[in-house]
Amino acid sequence: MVPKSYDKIRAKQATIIAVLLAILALTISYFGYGWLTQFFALGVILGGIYAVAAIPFAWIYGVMRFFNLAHGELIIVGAYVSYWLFVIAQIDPFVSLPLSFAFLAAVGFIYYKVIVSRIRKVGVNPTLVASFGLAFALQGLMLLICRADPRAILTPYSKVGISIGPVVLPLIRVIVLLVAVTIMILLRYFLMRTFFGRACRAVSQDWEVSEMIGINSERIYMLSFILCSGLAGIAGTLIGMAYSFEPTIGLRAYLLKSIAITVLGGVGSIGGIIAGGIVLGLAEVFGALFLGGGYRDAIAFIILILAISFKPTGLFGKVAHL
Amino acid sequence: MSLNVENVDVAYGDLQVLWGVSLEVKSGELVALIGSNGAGKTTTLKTIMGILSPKSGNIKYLESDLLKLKPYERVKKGIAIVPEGRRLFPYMSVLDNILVGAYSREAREKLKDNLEWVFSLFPILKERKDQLASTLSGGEQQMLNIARSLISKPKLIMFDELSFGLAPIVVSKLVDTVHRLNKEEHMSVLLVEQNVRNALEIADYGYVLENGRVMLKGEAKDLLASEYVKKAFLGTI
Repeated sequence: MVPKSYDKIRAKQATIIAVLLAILALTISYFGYGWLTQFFALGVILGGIYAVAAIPFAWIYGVMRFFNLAHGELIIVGAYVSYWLFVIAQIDPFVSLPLSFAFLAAVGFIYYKVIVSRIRKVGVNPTLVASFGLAFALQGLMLLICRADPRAILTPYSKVGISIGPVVLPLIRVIVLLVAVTIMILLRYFLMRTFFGRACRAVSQDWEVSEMIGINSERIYMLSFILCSGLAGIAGTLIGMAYSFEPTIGLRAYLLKSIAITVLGGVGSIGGIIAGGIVLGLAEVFGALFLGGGYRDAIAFIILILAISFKPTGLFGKVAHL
Repeated sequence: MSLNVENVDVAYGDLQVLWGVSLEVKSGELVALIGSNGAGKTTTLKTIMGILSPKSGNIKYLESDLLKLKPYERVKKGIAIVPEGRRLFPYMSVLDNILVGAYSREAREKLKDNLEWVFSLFPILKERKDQLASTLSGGEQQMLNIARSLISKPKLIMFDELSFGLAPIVVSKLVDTVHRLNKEEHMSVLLVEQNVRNALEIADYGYVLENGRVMLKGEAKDLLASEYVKKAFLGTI
């Protein structure tokens, strides 16, 4: 049997892992450890949200080898957009998802035109410095405008819980996870089945040949940047609904976790990113359970260090392009 | 006259590799560009395609000045290149590889007919359309390489090392396909080929490139008979 596509293999592997985890969860709850299943479900939700936050980062890196260190701040700006729209204009965060996308897409466009497109030609190191600089600039701006208080988008239905078997979950996190999964499925379809998605993969694999056969790679870079910045905004809104956030959390949590997930799952596929996200989510929740909540962020980096030391090719063998 | 390259100088940094190269491909003509390794053949094609820009000189296609156009705009004008060394997108399916070549709006509009036409040229690709490109044999990969460039139905197609590293039986098939594209579809062809005899036998006109300069040009049959070509490329005197 000839392998059809790595992405399909990855999607299959991710499904197998998910099924195994579900069986494990059911077994545990069968033997009366329902509370473990609870943490398990929370870990999967956290992982799903991490995955949707990591996809734009991995996409940008895959298409144009640009290590976007301002990724975390773009996410948090998205969270604030929906937060203020909710607080000031009472717009439901699910309704403001497209607005968050549009606002961050515009930010991404300016970011690309003013910084990325110029600096990319200079070399790799300047792009790191520039995006890191932008990260701190945005952070400072958010601190100035929004202050350092932790915030959360608290809708009237944020406190509602639903129980599934032994598990009681906040309804909003379940919905957020469903939205995240829907977005990832749509993105996968977009990447695999549309002309734009194919062009992204082509440029990622060999930009010179892509140019020769009629693809304007500059344009693909720009569109990818706009799309991925918008997606970071959506991820931010989802994070704002499910968890609390503050101006400095983007860099220290979401950027670095996106990097860890990308290393774990590989740039090559959305399936791999989802698997990486769930591994990280579970590790964090159970790590916090057994070691104490203070170690939550440390766990991501322990995983990152272990992954780079012992399995630098990622969970499924690294494919450094889409 | 369709493609006209005039006095083109190309350099990689300080290293100049093309010195005043001029050549033309008339409409419907099959032109062979021959020369030893490092003579500047690939550089010439990449310059025509716009991947490299010349230090000086002119490149015109039909009425337009190609030097003002980006590579993708040149593809829209109807120029295509079959890149050297079967550079496919290895992690994409055969069908996706072909579809990538139809990215421009014009190509997408005619996609259905052109896809059928390309599959009729290379039926094996239709059988293998869902496989990953990297799982194809060498000959099939080169067919896919050609199909990817043909899907936009170009008016001028340039082949970079058509038969490089392929079995003789595959080579004669591909050479035949190129000949047919030229005669039946009236495509202008600029053919860079290691197998000089094969190339000159189907070509109308030929250029010999040596150390970045055009050493010799003429009707293909005259070149085939010339002492220089015999001695340098065919190994017979």
